[in-house]
Amino acid sequence: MRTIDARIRANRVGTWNKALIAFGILLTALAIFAPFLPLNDPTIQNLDNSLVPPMFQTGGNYEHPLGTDHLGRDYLARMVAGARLTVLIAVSAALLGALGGSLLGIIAGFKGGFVDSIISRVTEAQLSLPFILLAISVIVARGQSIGTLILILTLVGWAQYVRVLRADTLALRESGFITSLRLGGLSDTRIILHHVLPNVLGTITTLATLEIGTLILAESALSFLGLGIVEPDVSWGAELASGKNYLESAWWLVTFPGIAISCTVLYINIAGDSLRLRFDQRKRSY
Amino acid sequence: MKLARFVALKILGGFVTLFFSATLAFIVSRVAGDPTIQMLGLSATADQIVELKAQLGYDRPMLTQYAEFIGHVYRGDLGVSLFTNDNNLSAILERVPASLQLASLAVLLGVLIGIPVGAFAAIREGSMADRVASILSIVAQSVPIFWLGLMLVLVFSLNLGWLPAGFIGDWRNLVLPVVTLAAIPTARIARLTRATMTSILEEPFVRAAFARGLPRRRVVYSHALRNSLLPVVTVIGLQFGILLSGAITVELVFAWPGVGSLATQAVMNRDLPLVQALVVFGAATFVGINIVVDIIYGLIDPRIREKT
Amino acid sequence: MQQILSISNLIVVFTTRRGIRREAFRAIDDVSVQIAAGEIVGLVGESGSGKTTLALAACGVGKVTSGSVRAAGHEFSQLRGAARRAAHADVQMVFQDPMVSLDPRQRIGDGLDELRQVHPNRTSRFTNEQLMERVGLAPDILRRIPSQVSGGQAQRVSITRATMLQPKLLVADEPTSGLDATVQDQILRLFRWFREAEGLAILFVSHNLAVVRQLCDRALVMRQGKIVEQGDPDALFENPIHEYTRQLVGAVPGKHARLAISSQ
Repeated sequence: MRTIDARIRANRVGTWNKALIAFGILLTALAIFAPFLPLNDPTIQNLDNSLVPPMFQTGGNYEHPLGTDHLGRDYLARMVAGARLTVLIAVSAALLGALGGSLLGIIAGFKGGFVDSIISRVTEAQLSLPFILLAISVIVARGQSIGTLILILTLVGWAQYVRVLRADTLALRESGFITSLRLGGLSDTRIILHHVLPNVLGTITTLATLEIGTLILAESALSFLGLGIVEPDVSWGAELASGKNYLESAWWLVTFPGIAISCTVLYINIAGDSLRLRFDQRKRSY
Repeated sequence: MKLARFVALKILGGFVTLFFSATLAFIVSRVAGDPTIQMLGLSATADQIVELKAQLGYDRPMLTQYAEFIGHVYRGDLGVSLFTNDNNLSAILERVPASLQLASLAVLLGVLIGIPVGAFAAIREGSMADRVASILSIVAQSVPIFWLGLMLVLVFSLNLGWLPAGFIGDWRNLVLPVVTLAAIPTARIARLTRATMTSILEEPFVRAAFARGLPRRRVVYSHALRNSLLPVVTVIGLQFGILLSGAITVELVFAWPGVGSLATQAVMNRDLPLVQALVVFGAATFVGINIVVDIIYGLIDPRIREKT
Repeated sequence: MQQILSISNLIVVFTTRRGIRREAFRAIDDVSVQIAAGEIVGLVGESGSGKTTLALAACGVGKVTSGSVRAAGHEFSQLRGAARRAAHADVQMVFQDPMVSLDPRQRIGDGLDELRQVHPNRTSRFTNEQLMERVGLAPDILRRIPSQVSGGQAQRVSITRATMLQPKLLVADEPTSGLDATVQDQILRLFRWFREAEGLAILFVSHNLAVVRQLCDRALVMRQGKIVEQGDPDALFENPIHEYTRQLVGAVPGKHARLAISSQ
């Protein structure tokens, strides 16, 4: 988008970037401090009060601003609660994937030869397997749990880091940078930790940020299918799964979680795009 | 190199990739956990587990199981469902037409809308239309498509009553699911077309053509657009993989009896043979589509044939 | 006189994979070179002749297929790990593109400190500020990062890094290409100075014959992995024997002009 481009080129932390950062901090704070907010308890059921519409519709009231679900639980509270688990899982998996994938990619680019071939082959094999196929393979073996979910999401994301970081490291190797450091007598470990890693950290951060968005979508999809987060845990995807049965009678059960997911992922994509423009001029991802 | 050799190499490569994918799937589903426990449930006793393992042949050494698995795969035998005892391959093939309908129409829609929109945005770079298109495509890639489907059903089916939302019926039943599924490929293709065309339009040979007085429209269509199509062709192959993942959820939303809903059922039932069959089938389809795409690419751009 | 660099019958073969086929390329074909302490030896040849490969082999970081490379008393192919890393301090290299050897995110001064840290047994008797002075740079360069210095300054930093631990042999691979004439002049003066002051032996790789003629005691002409002619630079260029040398010499515009390098 042109406006963002122009501002980034000015290379100052302009108003747009400040707004992005502020919003991010707000979201994170919300997720962390959710239990302490003056909201209703998302787990209390009240069957007399089920399927109450949101406050701006007839039949709604201020006590439940976003209405209640089929078990009478306050929906606003459930939306906020859903943020925690979804974001927590996505961020954990993104970090794990980034860590593992980047390390393997750097090692592959650095050492070359046999090690590189093995790592590359395994990575390509995984990249050629569509995400959902991988997911169902794992779930059928391990069943459902938050741990399994994080495992799947990590497996989904790690491979792209290998590709990118291997290429970056190879470029550094070919330019003679690594040779000159070796001539200086630096050990391989030192070179990787002190000279390669700091220079590729920007790329890793950008990829990881965008990946969080992808993982949130993936988790929502899995939860929607009943294969991700299930009762009694709360997640936006799970809410969509139960809400879809009441599509005709209670439209809010399906609308709000979806808006929440979309806005969060949209924010991440925009923020990630800004990061990419800053750190990663040559790469393009579609 | 000659086309025949190119095609042969690609097909061979496909078999190798399929081999690796199938192996990976096998490793993942056996090593990630114990499927027998899943099948029997948490209250299973140790005896029951041992018995089921013996029955399914899971107590044999991994290598034997693996060799048998690969052997079956290459003979086209994808096993039998644990629950229905039907042949897996025929169960899957039965469902393919329904999924194929959605997937092919979705990709078609993506290409028919995405390319013109992307080209238009590239030509009118920086204009309001361009910015709107960019924003729309970012939004399209941020929205969970099954939710998009639900919203479309809510608005167009339940509230306005214009379109149906199930499988039984006529061509109108296809509209909502196809539009839903098409959202992501359309956005990706539009973005890619725009980016490719912008960079081509900036190249010296295009400027030279304009300078020579060639009509703008001709330069745009015959030179710029044609060269932009190449990357799009490759992306289409990739799109199928993403479409596969999206199709599962969309089929659930619209109660569509395709391969996706079969997969959901299979996982719910912890039907390991069926799940493995689906994974192998899915991987084979994905590999097959990529081979076709690579061959088409090789046909269009002879330079690729040299590099391989 | 002690030989600082002694290369005997060196052969370097690179194998590349193109699809399924393997191609072997002989970059260095039976080359032998001797350099004595304090000598400046030039190595000329066109691109692709194997000059850089030979330079890297001389430093102990290049690939060696067969033959022996003995630099500053070290047989690098026999050394491993910490011993090898310590040995590198005796044979250093300066590259054509100075930016390549500098970490874009590291301050110049920190880079020098890091080298001291890595070689604790070889302390330079100069401080960082004095090292900068030696090569004619202002001390505030130490606080800058590579993108904040000019090409000539960066090259002088590279030379500092290469010489601060008192190596016995310096290999310079086209160190002045890409720099303008005045800066070139300064760099070459620096090389001479190091030879006079520290007895440093230098292998000077270049395609610029005029520079080699001015700076070097001896010159070697390389072509397609082999040394085709060697000797005194003046003699070589005035009376080239080998066909190839004649071509090289003939290709230099104004070959009779002399580069004025003021000696100090």
